[in-house]
Amino acid sequence: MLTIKMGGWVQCRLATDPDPYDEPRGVSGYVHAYAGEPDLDRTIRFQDPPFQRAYGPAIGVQVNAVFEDGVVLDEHPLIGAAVTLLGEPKFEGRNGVIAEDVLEPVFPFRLELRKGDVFVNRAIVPEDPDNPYRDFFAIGSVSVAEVQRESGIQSLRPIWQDRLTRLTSDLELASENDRPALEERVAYLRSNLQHSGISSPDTLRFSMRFDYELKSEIEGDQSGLWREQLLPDLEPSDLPWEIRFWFGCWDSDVQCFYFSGELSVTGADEPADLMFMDEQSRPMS
Amino acid sequence: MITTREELINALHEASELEHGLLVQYLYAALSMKKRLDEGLTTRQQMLCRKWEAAILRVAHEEMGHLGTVCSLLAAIGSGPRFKRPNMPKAQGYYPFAFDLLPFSDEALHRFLVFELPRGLPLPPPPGADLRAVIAEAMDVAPDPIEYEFVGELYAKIAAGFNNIPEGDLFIGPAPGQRDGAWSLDIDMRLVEDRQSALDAIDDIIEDGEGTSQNREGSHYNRFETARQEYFDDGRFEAARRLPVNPATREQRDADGAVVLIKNPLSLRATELFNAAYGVMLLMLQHYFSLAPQPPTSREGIQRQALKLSAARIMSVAIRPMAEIVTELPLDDAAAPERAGPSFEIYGEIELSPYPAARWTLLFERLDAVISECAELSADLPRLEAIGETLTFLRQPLVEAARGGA
Repeated sequence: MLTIKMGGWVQCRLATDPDPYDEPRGVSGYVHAYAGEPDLDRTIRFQDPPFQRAYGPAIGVQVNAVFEDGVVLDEHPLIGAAVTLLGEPKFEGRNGVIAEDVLEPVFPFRLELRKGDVFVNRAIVPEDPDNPYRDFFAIGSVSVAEVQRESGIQSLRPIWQDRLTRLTSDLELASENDRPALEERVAYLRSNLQHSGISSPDTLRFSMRFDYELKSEIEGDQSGLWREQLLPDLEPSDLPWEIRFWFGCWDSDVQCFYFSGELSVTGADEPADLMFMDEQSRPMS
Repeated sequence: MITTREELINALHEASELEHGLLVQYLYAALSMKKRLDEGLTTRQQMLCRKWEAAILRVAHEEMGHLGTVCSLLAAIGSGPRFKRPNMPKAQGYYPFAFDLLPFSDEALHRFLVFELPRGLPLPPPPGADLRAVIAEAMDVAPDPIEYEFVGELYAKIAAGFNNIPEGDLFIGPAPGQRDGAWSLDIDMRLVEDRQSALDAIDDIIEDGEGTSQNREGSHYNRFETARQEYFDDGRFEAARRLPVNPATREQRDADGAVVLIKNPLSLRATELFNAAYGVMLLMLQHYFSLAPQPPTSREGIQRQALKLSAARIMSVAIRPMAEIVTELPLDDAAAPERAGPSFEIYGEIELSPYPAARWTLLFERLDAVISECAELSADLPRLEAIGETLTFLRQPLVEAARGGA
């Protein structure tokens, strides 16, 4: 069994309660599209967002380690592969109608691993097409220590302070057109640095943990190169791929989360129950 | 002077109509705001529009809380809730003020200031006034007797009624059942179980509107005054979409004066859909406040919880987005700049069936009609597809709650 460990920053620009979940500008909640910024679209972006606020973390999730039966494979070709969720996935809470806060399912969920033109992806398959979200709610959270260890962030507070200093300085040279958004952002940082809670920098205790099985057909690039270039020595099978992942370290100023995940891929030549035999040797618990 | 239960109930009915009427006027103005740069806004104007919309929506949310508090006051003295109100417009005379659906404008902000006028303050400068000149003048004028402060005056009379009627006789309602938690982030609905909590709830409503004589910061009056001053300072630019005053899908017998009929067929259906969803929410609230309170794990407690959550959520997932859709649709000719507007019409009585078994059927019939119409219109208005789907999920806990009891 191959265990693929991945991590990085993702962006999700979404309105918050009591705004409608699809409110494009953010009015009543604490997240807003500032003047001149594009509309909020709720999409969870793992790579290359078309718009990003200044001084936020670089967006991008990569494979950063691969293990085989608990043994690290330093030279595995997947290391450094870009990880993406396809199909414009969203947190489908819909103001609590589908799921309460921090339980929102990520839907759709089709995970792709890619190096250049070579890619492989696989998706969840809802059991009930009339309620595709039901089986995919978050199942808990992870510890603050784990969020700190994986993200490398001990506290967002000094990062926000630094951003506030830079943005205040930027204001002096800002054009008339850019000034309103900068003023809004500076005001947000100033105000929320005084508070605690989800709109403050003290968000390391908020995280969402998920455990999905990817059961769809495996899809790869038409050339089929993914078999040798991404998953060599692994005989593809219909067995589900299991992924455990979490989103944490919510940085509401730049609308980003840290994502950490661990994908378990079982080949055809392995008995299915091996997937569950080596819990102790997992690099991430 | 209010000295009997009947007089007190009548006064609270009047208060509930007023709160309901105010909140839809606030919502109409807030939802009329432009949002995008391609609507002719500069970035500064876009920022101000969002800020003013947020300020007015927040006041509207608090008015929802006030309406709920009035229902609690009614329940505490043994009466049912009241969500009835006449359709707009309503000429001065029925209430001390005219009630109209006005898009965001200086006239709308002036109306709102008059509605929330604190005791001891003069009337605000009329629409279109030069606020710099008038404010400087107003600072030198001693407060006039308040002639138009009907909301505060009405609540003062209600408070007197709660004081006049012996406490032991008055509180015959099921007070403990009102204790079922917060509604949402912005709705502060007070619980009432005795004279003191009733008076505190009334004080809270008055303070939300007027502030106190020492501090008006954060009051509805203060928020409208700030928005109006900022609007003046920025040249009273065209901040609202071109929505009509008092739009309507049909002539309403209980409305006074002229309405602007929505004639574009798609806009008409979308506005009727909006009104239907609004009616479903009112029916949910009527049902919720009419159920005898019981422990939360009991059959009736579960039903109350399902109704409460659904009524709160349908506002965010259907009513507000539907209103936003309507404000971008043509009033009549698709090529003309005039837009339609959410008319907040009530097509029939908001009445709960006296037969408990029929209540859920009546509710589901209306909710299902809304869901079905969302599906039908989604080809032309794609945002309705997700709204309809979300409403099917909102329906499920109601079905489960209904199955738990008649």
